[in-house]
Amino acid sequence: MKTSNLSLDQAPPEDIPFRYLLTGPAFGILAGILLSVYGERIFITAWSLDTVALVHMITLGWLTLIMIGAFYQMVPVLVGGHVPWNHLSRINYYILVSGFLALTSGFLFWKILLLKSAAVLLLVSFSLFITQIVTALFRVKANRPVVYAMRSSVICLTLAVAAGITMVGVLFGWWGFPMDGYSLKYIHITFALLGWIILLIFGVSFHVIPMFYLTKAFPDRIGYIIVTLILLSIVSLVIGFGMKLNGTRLIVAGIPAFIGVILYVFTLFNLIRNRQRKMVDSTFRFWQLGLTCLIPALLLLTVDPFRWDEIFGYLFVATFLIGFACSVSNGMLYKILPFLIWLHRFSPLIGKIKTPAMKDIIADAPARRQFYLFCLSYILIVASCIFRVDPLIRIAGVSWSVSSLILFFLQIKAFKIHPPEAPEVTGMDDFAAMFKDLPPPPPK
Amino acid sequence: MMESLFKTDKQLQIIDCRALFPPEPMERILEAVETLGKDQAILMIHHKRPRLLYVKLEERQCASETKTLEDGSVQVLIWKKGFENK
Repeated sequence: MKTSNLSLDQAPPEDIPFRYLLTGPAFGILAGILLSVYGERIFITAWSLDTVALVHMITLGWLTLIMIGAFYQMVPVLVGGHVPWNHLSRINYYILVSGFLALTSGFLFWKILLLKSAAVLLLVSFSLFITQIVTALFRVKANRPVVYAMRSSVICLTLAVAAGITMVGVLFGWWGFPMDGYSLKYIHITFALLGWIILLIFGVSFHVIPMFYLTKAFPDRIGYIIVTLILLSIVSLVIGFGMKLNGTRLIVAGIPAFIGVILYVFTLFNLIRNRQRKMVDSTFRFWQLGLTCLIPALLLLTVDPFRWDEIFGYLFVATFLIGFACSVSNGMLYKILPFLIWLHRFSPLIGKIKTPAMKDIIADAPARRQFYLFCLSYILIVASCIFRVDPLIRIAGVSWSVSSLILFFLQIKAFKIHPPEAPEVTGMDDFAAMFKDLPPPPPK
Repeated sequence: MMESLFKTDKQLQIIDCRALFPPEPMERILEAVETLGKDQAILMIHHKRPRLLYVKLEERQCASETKTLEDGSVQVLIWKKGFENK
């Protein structure tokens, strides 16, 4: 017999993914507060600075923080890649969060200094993160759909950040760029939403859905096809926006991605319908909601280029970002966080103490209640997009804020769970004290 | 019950983890490892390679060998280091 090839424990120290994962929902609280304070101002136009700030609070604050936390955790464990300069990931967290706050507050209050600071902070932090992940992902020889999706996703993030910072630079006259703001803006959005967000969520789900729900493996061939179709659309759309093609041609450019998404949704629904054990927990419900929203979101997007009404753009953002992306990431936090706490803190103690189950770390009942509140918030936000009634928008903001607060609280509560202290080693004095009441030995 | 793919003179404890949610497979195996004797081995049956478990086995001075079946499921034979097959 021989020992199998052992991979060394490359998982990062627990505090690295935790700090990113825990902070994501805090931006959900802020986004809800912003919506409740600004009310109908958010719906004056989709490109108002307030609306752009709100969208970045969700895409960067909520989604990107959770996705970066997931990258730091999953690249070593899932892919076997060694992430270099792990200690810098801690400092990078502060730079990144400062950058997000500077960017959103710069948009909200139109403070040039804040926007300039945001550009520098985000350039530094994203450069570091991307260098770490690209180094890790491209060194490994693994060639599975999850690796393909992660590599593509991080390249799209690079291009989305580059387009975003180019826009800020053009705005302040730091440099010129041979493309107008309209094209650059849509290229930025294409790389961010279709590339960074969709490709990463899809790629990670190829692995985690079979793992957490005991389904059959996501077929590799279908995984490759889905990622390739989406990449094809990204390239076509970027060229289309660069050439200022009309709405119909842009929709044609988006068809491969649409086919890829339909293939993904149907494959995943089919896998979970035939799963080995029919368990339904909060994470599962969030996934169901997310997958249900994905196709309607893309249908709404096909209407947007014709500019009949901005309502379709708003509905797309609500359905895609909240209905799909926030829903899925919210659900995944209920699995990833307890799993990491169990793995780091309790797995070394198996056989020594009774270790808690995942459901003891975050119980399903409060998570389920948070899911219902999340659904209510989502419905209210969709209704706000349609009716644009000020009190309704503010109530939607409060509801979204409370939902994120509950998620944040449940995570913090879980994070505070530590194994009991090991019993102290009996010292010689204690040892002697155990025998103090015994009668003395009989004389010889 | 699936047949063992390994030939061993050790007393086998078979643990089928295919219907267990994570982290139950790791929990069951590590609990069994605690009482593993020199003439015993654990045969883990799982639906995929248990990547994280290998590290935990190494920490507990255990060796393992993995064989993958056509359907992607695996059998992992686990024994205490230093007590290999005769």
